[in-house]
Amino acid sequence: MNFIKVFLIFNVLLGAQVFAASSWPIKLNQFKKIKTLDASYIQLKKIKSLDITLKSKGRLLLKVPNYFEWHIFSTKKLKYVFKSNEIHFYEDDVKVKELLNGQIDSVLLNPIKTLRAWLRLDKEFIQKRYRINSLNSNQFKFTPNDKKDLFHSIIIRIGKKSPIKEIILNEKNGDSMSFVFSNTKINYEK
Amino acid sequence: MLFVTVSCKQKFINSSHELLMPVETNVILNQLSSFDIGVWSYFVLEQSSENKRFCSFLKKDLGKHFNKVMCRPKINEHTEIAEDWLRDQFYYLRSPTLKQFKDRLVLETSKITMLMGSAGQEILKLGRLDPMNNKEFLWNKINNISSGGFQWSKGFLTISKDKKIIIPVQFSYRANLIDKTVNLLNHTNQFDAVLVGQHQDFYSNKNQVKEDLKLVTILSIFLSSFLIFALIKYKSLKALVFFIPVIVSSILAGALIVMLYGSIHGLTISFGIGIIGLGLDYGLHSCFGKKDAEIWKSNLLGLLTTLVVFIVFSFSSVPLIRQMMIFSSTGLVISFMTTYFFLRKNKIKIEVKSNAPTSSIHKKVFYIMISGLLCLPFLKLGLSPERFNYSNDKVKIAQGWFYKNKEKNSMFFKVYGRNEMKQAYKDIRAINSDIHNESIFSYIQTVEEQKKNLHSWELLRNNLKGLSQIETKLFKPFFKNLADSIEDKNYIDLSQPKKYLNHLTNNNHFISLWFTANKSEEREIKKNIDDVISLKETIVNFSKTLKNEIFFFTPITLVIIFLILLLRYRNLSKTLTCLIPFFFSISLYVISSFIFNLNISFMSLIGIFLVYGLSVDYGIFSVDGIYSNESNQKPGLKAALHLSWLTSIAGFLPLAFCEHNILKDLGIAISIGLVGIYYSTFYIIPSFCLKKGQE
Repeated sequence: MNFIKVFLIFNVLLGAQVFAASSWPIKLNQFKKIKTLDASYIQLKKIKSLDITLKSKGRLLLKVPNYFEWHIFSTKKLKYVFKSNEIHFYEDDVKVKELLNGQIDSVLLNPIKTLRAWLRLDKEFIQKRYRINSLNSNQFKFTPNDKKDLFHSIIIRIGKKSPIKEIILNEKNGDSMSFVFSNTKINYEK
Repeated sequence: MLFVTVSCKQKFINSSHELLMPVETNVILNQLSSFDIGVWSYFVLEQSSENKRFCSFLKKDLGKHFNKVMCRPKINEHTEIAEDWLRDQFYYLRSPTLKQFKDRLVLETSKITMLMGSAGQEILKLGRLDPMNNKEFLWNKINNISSGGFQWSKGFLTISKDKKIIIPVQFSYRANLIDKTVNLLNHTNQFDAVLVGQHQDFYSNKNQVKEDLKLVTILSIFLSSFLIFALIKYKSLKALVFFIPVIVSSILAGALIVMLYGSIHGLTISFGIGIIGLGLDYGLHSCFGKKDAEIWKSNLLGLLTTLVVFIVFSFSSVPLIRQMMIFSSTGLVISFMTTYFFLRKNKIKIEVKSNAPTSSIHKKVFYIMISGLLCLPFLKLGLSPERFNYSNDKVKIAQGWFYKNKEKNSMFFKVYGRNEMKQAYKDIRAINSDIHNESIFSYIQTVEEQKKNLHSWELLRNNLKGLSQIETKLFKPFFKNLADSIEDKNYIDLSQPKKYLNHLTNNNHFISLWFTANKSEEREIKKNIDDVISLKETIVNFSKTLKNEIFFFTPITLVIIFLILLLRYRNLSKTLTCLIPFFFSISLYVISSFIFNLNISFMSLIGIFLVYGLSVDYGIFSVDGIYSNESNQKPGLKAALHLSWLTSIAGFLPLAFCEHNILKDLGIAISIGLVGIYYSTFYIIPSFCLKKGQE
């Protein structure tokens, strides 16, 4: 009898797990598809091998489909603009370098493509590649299906009005990167 | 030809380009190709979904063939070079101010916050050595060196208007190791990719010569069968014995060349056997004739006049011509002597009709000869070494596209001994900085400058206070390199192997290159740098040298031959008549080249030399036969000359059907020349020397 109970519980849990992995959390369904996003952030970058955590501030600007600006407020205003497969580097609004289409392997742009997909909560992109677990009502953990994925896991916390309040990207080597967003301005697709 | 080719082991046969150029030109080209920077090749392929797979295939599966493959550059592609360069940066670059340095540390730290994934780890590794972001300089250098003026797009070099892409590669082995290239091309054949460059040239040429030799063998067998059939018909099969001296002399002459040069060039075999075949003519002349003394006097005169050509041209600056002349003259003398001492008693009696053509039409044709000779100054010689090169249609299209779109600039270079750094530095400084150059001084500086630079870093380090713990940890490798450099003061010179200088150095020398965009820049380089070499001019000079030699040596040989003939005949008319086959065959070739737009290449000229040697002999035999007192000499002479001519045409006509320019040009020149020899020997000379009805 005990065995049957354990078996049933195991099955229920397993069923729940499968359900969780394949379904899109209802909480996230409230947000429409994002067209543009503009948000300030505070970032913590942990480098495990050096045992240091770097802190920075900046702003991210996203425009669907292929435009992405990453501003870092440093001693100089740094800006990286990603347009399709091009990267433009600015220091104090002066362009200091550009890597035009194909000057670098497009594989190098994968982290940015991934980050962009997460910032706009690209349902199709995420569902295809990750298993989803709810950590609590506002926090979800995403585990990649592919062992070769860049990240070990990704955790997001959704805000009251914005899809993402915080995102934590955990790398396989133990490094991690977290962003806490504020002043988020979003335009949704109609 | 086949006999000698087979009898010489393959290792003794040389097919390299080296003997084709004067030693000085070879030294220059070899010097250039001994540096990595001088030996880029390129894969040209259509844009398709296969490109990425091809790039990865080159790098992973065929990686052992290359030192560098420039496609879809990975972030860690040049890490080792960059690390080497960044380790030495304190010697080459002046330190920034304290404020600039501190700002830069914050800035680079901020950039590091963006890094993700394994590529991020690679960037971090270099970034920790490089808070001043000096590696950018190195990336730009590497990209520019290999790009050839093409632009990067989607990880490949291309030009915007076209759908082809280019992958620059640097081979790990020399182009003469053809077996390795065959192996490589067997693998790359599955892609729509064409290799352009020195390795392709070596492979294509050897492959085509092999194909052409198959064709020549088949045609030669067919023509030889025809010859043997003719011998049987005229009951002269015994004449085959005269091939023995030709074979013996070919082997002995070949052995001599191998002793002198270490190997024999394939072209020497093609040319030399034809000339040694003249020995066959002496034998045939002897066996069909009756009066030995007169015949061998003619033969000796023929030998002497031919040797004049070979001896004079053996002073050529082109090693291949020298080798050909030594091979031919040695072989011809051996062939002559063997025939004289062992076979001159062999006689064949032949009955042929011998009506000499005395029509005035043939005299009029003589005027064509004059007009052909008058056209000689207008002949355009195409002596460019490119004619030595064979490419199939697919490669030719890719090459055409590549060179049409490649950056058009002239390259100058100068090679220095490792102890000539001061002179090299002076040369670089003597040129306007607008002229693009690539030299060791693009990377390193003089010791005096290095001292100043290192000192500036030392001062910076001494004043550097208040660094955060994070900055100290993050840029620890940079600070360690700085401390080591200040302590070691190991100023950089060429005694230390540096990865970032590998492309500009070889065992004992280093090279500086300048790339000019126009004539005024070219003038500036030539004016300010002693002994600078222009690659373009090197090639042009080769053509000029060859032309000069031809225009200098030909009149000398003509005068000597003329004097020998005059001494022998003591008669101007007979002397000039002996030269008719030469002048007529030359004029026929000139006229044909205008009508059929023939390329007159280096090999065409070699063919003309051979015709030169042959034609004077035919003239002598013909004149001696016509003026001979023995009337029964004439049918035998005619048979001998016909048979000699047939053996020559059977040997050389197949070459005219080859695909490779070298063999084709040689075959066409000799075949046309032989037609001229035939017509002038059997029609023009008799019509001038004999009255109507006279035999």
